[in-house]
Amino acid sequence: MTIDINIHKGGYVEGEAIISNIQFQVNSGELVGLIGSNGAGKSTTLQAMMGVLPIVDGQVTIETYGYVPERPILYEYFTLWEHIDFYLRVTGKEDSLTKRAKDLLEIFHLDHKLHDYPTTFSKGMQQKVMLILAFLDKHSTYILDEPFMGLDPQAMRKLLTILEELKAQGAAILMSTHALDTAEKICDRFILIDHGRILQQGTLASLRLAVKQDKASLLDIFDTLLEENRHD
Amino acid sequence: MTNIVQHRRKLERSQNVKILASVIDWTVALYVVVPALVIGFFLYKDFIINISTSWIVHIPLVLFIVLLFIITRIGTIRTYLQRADRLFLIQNRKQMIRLKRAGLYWTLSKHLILLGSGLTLLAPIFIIVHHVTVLELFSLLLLLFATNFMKLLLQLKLRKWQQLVSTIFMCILGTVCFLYVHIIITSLIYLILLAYCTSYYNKHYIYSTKFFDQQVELDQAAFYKWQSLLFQIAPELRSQLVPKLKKPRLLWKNSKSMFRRSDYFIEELVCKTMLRQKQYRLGYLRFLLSGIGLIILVPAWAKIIMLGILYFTLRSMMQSVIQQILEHKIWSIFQVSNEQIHAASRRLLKGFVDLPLLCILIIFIISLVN
Repeated sequence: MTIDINIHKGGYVEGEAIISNIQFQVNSGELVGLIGSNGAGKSTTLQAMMGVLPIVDGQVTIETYGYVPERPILYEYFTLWEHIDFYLRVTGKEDSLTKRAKDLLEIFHLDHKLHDYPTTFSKGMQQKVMLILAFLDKHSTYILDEPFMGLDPQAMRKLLTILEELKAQGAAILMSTHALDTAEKICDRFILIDHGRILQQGTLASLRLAVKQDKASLLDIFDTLLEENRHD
Repeated sequence: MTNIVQHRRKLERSQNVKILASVIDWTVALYVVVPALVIGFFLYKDFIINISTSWIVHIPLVLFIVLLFIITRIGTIRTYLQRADRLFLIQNRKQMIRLKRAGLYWTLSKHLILLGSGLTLLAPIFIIVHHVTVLELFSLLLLLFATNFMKLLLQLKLRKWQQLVSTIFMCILGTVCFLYVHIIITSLIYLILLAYCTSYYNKHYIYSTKFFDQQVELDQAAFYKWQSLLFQIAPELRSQLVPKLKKPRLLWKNSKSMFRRSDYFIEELVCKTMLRQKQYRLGYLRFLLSGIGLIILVPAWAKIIMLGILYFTLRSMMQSVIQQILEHKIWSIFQVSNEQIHAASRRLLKGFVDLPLLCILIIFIISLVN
């Protein structure tokens, strides 16, 4: 097991829990989708996992991870290559990872923008920079917060290929996303979250069973669970 | 409406006070600011008493006038506009006009007082050394005031190179008018110019909302002026500091490493930021060069004090720059250890503070020995 989360309560201010009773695991070679509406507590859960949420009551077990933030985080005074170079130098793996960096730059068509400031890039291109930085080094775990945001269809396809490769190599991936149709196709399991609590978790088949709809899509399941939760 | 102006000015004042208090605590005030003021007063007094035998008598009047035209500027005409005004205030034309007008009067009055104070301090040079009359000094005040207002309006309208050309032209025109044209004619010309500038600003910037975004941007920059200067910029302002260029323009523009050692990555990030972030670069150079200038000007006994003051101010400025860079969100992506940060900070302070100050000290000792 690479990710094991057991959070009783978590939030930004003492006494005001944003998330509660969040319990799940992500195993090696598994891609798990964290699904929820806006403000459901997905990003807060990810922050708690990374240890940057101010108040967390519970236990988080996670190994070193690659991370794609919800919004691109870039340094205004570094060029694209300087971002990559800095990352390589911090990890001390310049020799072994330079080739990987060049491959990723080529895959995401950013190899002609090496000496430009990425803060001047379009939203999609900035997201690609985040993906490159996250996938540069090999990790046992990946936390991806809305990785498809702003990506063009080609880049989306390439990202899916990379995710498949990482899975095959045994990485545990937790991905928060609103792209439910894509998530339905690629995720092994789903964690549906609302108002800071887990509504349901499991494979697509087990979720269909839970809502008693044989051919329901992930969106249908999510809608049904949300409705049920509101009536409760 | 007055309440909005007062409220926004109060907000700005309280923010500036907080920033100042975070940089200058009572110990700094007691040991640096107060002695500097006392020393400054006595130096000025000595300078005035001995003015006729001072080196300043050798500097021609024309040079003073040209310098005054070059270095004095208004900065920004305040409007006290905020981005949210686009949603609400912009629909209330009368209130918007009154807000902008209050900003204009405040800016011009402040500039007039500053110019007047500056000229009063320089008055002994003009009157004793160059035999300028008080009336002529008033005319110079009017010339500088109208020219600066005109320069500011041209800045809003023209491109960089056009601004430079117009500034040179205005400087020459002002100098020639002051030195060679009769005082009454000069004053009349510049009064007309001042009236024209005021009516132009009224028409195009106060009554019109065409330049709303430009005015908000300029006012926000003025609002955060002290933060920028003292490198205590609020996080939400960071977006305004994003370089407008697509790529670095000078030096290391091909993303090459600055240092041979690959473990000097934090140093590289800070050095490249200093090089590429205009406010950091100019702030550091301004501190260093003005410190060196003061060390050259003051008598020998005060040089050591100045050197000490320069060391502490430059050091606290650089510490604040490094701290601000380390508060950037990028460090959630670039995960470095505290040991690496401390080691890098020490090396950076040595390079940016200790080394230049050591060079100045050596030059000072050599000049004393000689």
